Amino acid sequence: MILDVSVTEYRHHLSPYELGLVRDKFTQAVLKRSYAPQWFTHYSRWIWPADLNAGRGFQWYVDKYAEMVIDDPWHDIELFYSQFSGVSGMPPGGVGPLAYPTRYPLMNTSALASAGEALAGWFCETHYNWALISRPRLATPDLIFRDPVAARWALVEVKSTGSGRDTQARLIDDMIKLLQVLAISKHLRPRPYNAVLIVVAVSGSTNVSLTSLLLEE
Amino acid sequence: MQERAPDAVDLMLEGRLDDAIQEYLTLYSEAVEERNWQIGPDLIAQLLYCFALRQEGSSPEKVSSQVAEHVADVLHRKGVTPDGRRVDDDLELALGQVRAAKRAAGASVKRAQKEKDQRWQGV
Repeated sequence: MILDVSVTEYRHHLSPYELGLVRDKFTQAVLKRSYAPQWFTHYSRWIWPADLNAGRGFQWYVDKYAEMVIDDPWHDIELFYSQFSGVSGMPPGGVGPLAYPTRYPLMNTSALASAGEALAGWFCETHYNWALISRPRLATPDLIFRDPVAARWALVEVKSTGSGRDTQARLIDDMIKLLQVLAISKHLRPRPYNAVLIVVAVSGSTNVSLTSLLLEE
Repeated sequence: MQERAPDAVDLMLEGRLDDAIQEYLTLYSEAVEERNWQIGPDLIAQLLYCFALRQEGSSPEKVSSQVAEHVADVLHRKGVTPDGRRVDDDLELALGQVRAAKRAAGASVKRAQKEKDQRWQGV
């Protein structure tokens, strides 16, 4: 199965002043209002054909990048949308011999989160050519990468959602939390880092968008 | 898909633990050399997992002295002198990360049962 992932990538050079503005809720309000909109000035868009069966298969990326232990999360996502469309009177796609779903289904949120993390990690290693170093559990950031060419570290936070709405507002709020990690570790590291927030929106079994906001210190 | 060299986590997943250990030791000695104390505990935590996986029946906590010895040896061979007790601090912080992850693993099982109980009670 090949997913045509709609990618939007924003890049911005973060100034020390912007990083300092994560200090408290008042400075964060200034950051949000007067500086964060510039993070979205330079962007590129393309379609990434993610072949879930190519190479080692999608499960390799799930094992590598997902926080939870889970098998074939994309199957659960397909099943949800198949049953949902069946019960909603949309084109058939339910289960069983007559393809009738028996009720409105509930999305397996662990599958959604894990698939999003796997796609985001896969994107970082293929698009940015970064090497995964660590996948901390229950901590920010979700992923720690290293750019082997630039010898630069990248802290990556991943958010998965079933809706593509309000992506920009969400990116700003979550990026501020990630920048707080960078700000408080300023004196523990001699070199600038990258901060990356990736939102993976899955609004259908073949309808996926990935938005990456990369801020370079 | 673009061909790329396996990263350290790929090596761990492939079971090439000796290669993964070499990769993490190299990264750690570079981090110490350039005084990057932000990343040190994460690299040591990965080394703890690698050493534990290499020895059946072991655990990250049990291999901490082995990791400390290997790190000291690599730093000595590369002529890298850490500031004060920074490496000891990194090991202590890494062990804290590992213990927290272990507690979280146990708590995830209890949480599943708690959620089911709450539904039963209509909470």
